[in-house]
Amino acid sequence: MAGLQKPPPLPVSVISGYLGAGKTTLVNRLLAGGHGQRIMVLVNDFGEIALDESLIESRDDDIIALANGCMCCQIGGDLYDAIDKILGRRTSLDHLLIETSGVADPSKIGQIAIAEPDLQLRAIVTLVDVQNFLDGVADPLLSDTLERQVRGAHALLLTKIGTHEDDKTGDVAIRIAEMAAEKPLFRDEDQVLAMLLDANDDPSFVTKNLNGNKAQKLGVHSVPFESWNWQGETAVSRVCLEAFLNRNELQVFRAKGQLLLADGSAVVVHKVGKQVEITRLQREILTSRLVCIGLRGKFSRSYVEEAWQRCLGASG
Amino acid sequence: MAGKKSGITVFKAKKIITMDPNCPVASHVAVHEGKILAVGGKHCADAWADHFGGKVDHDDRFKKHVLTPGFVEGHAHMMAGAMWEYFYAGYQDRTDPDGKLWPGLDSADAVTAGLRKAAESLADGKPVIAWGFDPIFLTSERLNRKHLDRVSKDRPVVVMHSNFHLMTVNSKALELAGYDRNTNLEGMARFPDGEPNGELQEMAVMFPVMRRLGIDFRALARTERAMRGFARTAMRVGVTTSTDLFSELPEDDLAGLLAVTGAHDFQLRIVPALNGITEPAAEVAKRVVELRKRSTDRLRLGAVKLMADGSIQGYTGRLKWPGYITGHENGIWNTPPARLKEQIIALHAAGVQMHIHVNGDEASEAALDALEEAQARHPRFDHRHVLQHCQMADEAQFRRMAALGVCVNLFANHIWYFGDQHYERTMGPDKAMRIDACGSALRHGVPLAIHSDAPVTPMGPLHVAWCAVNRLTPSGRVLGEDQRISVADALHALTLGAAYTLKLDGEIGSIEIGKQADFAILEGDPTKVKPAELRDIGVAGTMMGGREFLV
Repeated sequence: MAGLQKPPPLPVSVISGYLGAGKTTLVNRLLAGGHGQRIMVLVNDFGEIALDESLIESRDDDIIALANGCMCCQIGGDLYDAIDKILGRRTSLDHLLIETSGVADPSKIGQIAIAEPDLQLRAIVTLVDVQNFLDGVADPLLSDTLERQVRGAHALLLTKIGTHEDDKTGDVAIRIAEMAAEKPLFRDEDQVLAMLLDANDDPSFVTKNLNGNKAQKLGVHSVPFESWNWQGETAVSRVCLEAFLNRNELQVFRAKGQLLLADGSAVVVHKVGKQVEITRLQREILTSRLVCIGLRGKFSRSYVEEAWQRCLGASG
Repeated sequence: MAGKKSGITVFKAKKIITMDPNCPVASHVAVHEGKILAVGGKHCADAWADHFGGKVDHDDRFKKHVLTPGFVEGHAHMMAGAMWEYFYAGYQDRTDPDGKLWPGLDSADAVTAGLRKAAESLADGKPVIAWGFDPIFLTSERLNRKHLDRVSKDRPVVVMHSNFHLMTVNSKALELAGYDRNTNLEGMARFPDGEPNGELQEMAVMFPVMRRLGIDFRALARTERAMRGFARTAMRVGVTTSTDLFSELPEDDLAGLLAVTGAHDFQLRIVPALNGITEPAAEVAKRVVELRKRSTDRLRLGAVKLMADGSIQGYTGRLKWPGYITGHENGIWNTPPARLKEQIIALHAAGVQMHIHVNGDEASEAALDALEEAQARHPRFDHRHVLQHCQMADEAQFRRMAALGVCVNLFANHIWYFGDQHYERTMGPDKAMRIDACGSALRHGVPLAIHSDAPVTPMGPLHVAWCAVNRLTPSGRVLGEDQRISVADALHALTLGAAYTLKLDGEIGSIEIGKQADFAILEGDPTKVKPAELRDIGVAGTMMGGREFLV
C-alpha cells in the first residue's frame, strides 16, 4: 500500500440556534473539557468565548490553542476562508465544531461538510431557548428563520429550562414536536456534549461508554440512545443498502460502517438524520461492519436486525 | 497626463454640464492646482491671473467633447477589477480594464468555442476559469459538463455564473471534487440518467472545486492589480470617485490601498466602507474615528456598511407578503433583525454614517423601523444614512425615508439586467413595475443616487442613467412608466446625488469653484441625445484632480 494515504475526512458538527440560545456556553464547556479530544471550534467572534487564560497555550489573530489540545478559530470575514485555512493547517484534529451565526440556516452549513471530501458531517444540533422561542416564532420577521433552524437540525437541545418562574418548556417541546416530531429532543446539555464528543468514535459508544471516562468527566449519567451492531462476510447490494439506510421507520439516528458490496467493491457508510453518504473505500476489507443507533424508546434492535437480514437476503 | 501644479489652465469644451444651479451650462472651465478655479466663458479665469502667477493657458483639447462632473459610483466593489484574471463568458459584450472587448457568448456552443480558444494561452494542466455566464439569456441547451469536456478533458474547466451562486464545470473538475453519480448532494445537478451534469449550485457545493483550484475572488480583489483594474474600469466609464462598499480593511490592506491610490497615475478616488456589523458598535465607532484620520484625497475612509438581507434574484432577499411569486420560501437575514436594530441605534448614537444593504421590502422596513427608533432616542440632523439597493420600497417606505432624513441609493441597473426575471420569477408584476422606484424617491424628496453594484452588473453610469430614464427590459417591457425620471435627474443622481450620500458633495459632484477638477469627458451630450441612446454615448476618459486620463 502506498505510504502516503489520504487522511480520513475531518468530522464536523454544527451548533445552531438564535441569539442567546446558549451556543457559546456549550462551546465553552467543550473547549475547557478534559475529554482528550482535539476539537477545533469555529466561532463568529472570540469576544464571546470565555476562555480561562491559564489554559491558553498560544494565540494569534485568528486561532487560540489550548493546553488540552483544543483550538478555537474566529470566522472573521468568511466561513469558507476559515474552513479552508483549517483544512490547510490540519494538524491532527479529531473534530471540527462550527458555531453558526444566530440567523444561519444550519442545514446550509451542514452542506459544506457534506460536499467537501475532506470533511464529514456528523451532526447538526440546534439549541432552543425555551424562554424566548415562542415569542420568536410569533415574530413574522423571525419565525421562518427559527423554523429552518429546527427543521435543519438532526437533534435539538432545549436550554434555559427552569430559569424563570413562568417556565415554558412544556409548550416549547410541543411546538417543536409539531415542527420536527421525529428528531431527538434533549433537555440536558450533558447528553448533547456526550453525543458531540463521540463524533469521532464508534457510534456504539453510547452504550459501551456509558460509564466510561469521557462521559463521566462530563458528568453524563444517562444517554438516551441504543445501538445495534452487525458484523459478517455477506455482501450486500448497493440498491438494498440504500433502501435500508433510507427507511425512516427504522428510527436510525446515526449509522456508520464499512461494507462489502455485491459487485466486489467496498464502501464506507455514514448516516445522520436523513443524510446518507456512501463512499467508495480505496482498500480491501474482509469483514463488513455496521452500527446503527437510535433514540431509546423509538429504536428497536430486533426491528433493525430483521430489516437488515431481509436486506442481506434480497441482495443475494 | 497634464496636471500643471501651478498656473491656470482654461479648458474649452463643446459644452460643460455643471450641475451648479448658478451656472448650469458653460463653455470653459479653469483649473488650478487640481481644483476648479472658475467656470463660464473664455475669460472666466482672467480675474485670477494676477493672483496666480499672471499667466492663463488656454487648452482646447476638449473642444469636441461634453464635460460633466466626474461620475460618482455610490455602490460598487473592488472585485470588479479582479474578475479579469479569468476569462469572461457572459452574454453581453463587456470591456476589460485595458479596453479589450470581450464579445458576448450567446449559446452553449459559443461558450465552448470561446473557452477552447482561451485555453490555448494557458500552460498545460492549468485550469480554465471563466465568469459572468448567465444561462437565463441562452435559448440553447443548458450549459453542461459535456460542453465543457469539449473545451478540455485534461484541464479542469470552471464557468462561474454571473450571480456567483452557480457554476458549471467539466468532468475533470468534478473528479477533482470527488463528485460522481453516488454523491448524495442536493446542489449537484444531474442528467436524467443520474450522472452529474456539471452544474453545481450554491457555495457549499462549489467550494470543493474552488478550494482545489485556488479560486478566491475576494483575495484577488485585495491585490494591486485589482485596485488598478478597478480604477481603469472606472475611468473608462467616466467615474472619478467610487465606493468599495464592504471591506474588512485590515491593516495590511489599508497600507496597500494607501500606497496604490497615492500613486501619481492612479485614476480614482476610492471610498471603502468598513464592515460595520461583525464587531460591537463601540468598536466600529472607534475604528471609524481612527480610519478618518488616515484619509487621503484619493482614499476616503470612515464609511460603514451594514447588511440586512440577501439578493432578490438569489431568493435570499427578505420580502413582505405575498413573498416570491414562485412560492419560494422567504429569504435570509444577513443579520438578525434584533441585532440589526441594536447596531443601527448604537452606531447612530455614536455619530457614524451608515450604508445599509436592504434588497427586499421586509428588509427595508426593518431598517426603517430601526432608524426611526434611533432618531427617536438620539435625534440627529443630517446623519445621511443611506438605504443601499432598496429595490422594493413602497410609497409608505419612501415617505418614512423622507421623514427620517434617510437617503436612498437605488440599483437602477437591475431594471435591465434582471427586470424580466423579477416580473416573471421573483416578486411578480405589481412589485416589479415599481422596482428601484427612482420616481417615487424624487416625488417624496428623498435624496437619490443610482448605481451598478459592479461587478454584479458592469460599472457604467450612462447605462445606469439609461435604465432609470427608460426602464426597459430585454424582452421590451417598460417596467413602470411612472417611475421613469428625466435625464437631468438621472445625471444629478450619478453626480451630486451620489456625492451627497458619501458626504462629499462639498468637494465633488458638480463643476463649480473650489471643487475637485473631476470631469467625465463624453463624446455626446446626454441632454441632447434621444433618451433611448443615452447608454451609447462614448466616454473619452476622465480628468481627476486636474490629471487627465484618456481611454
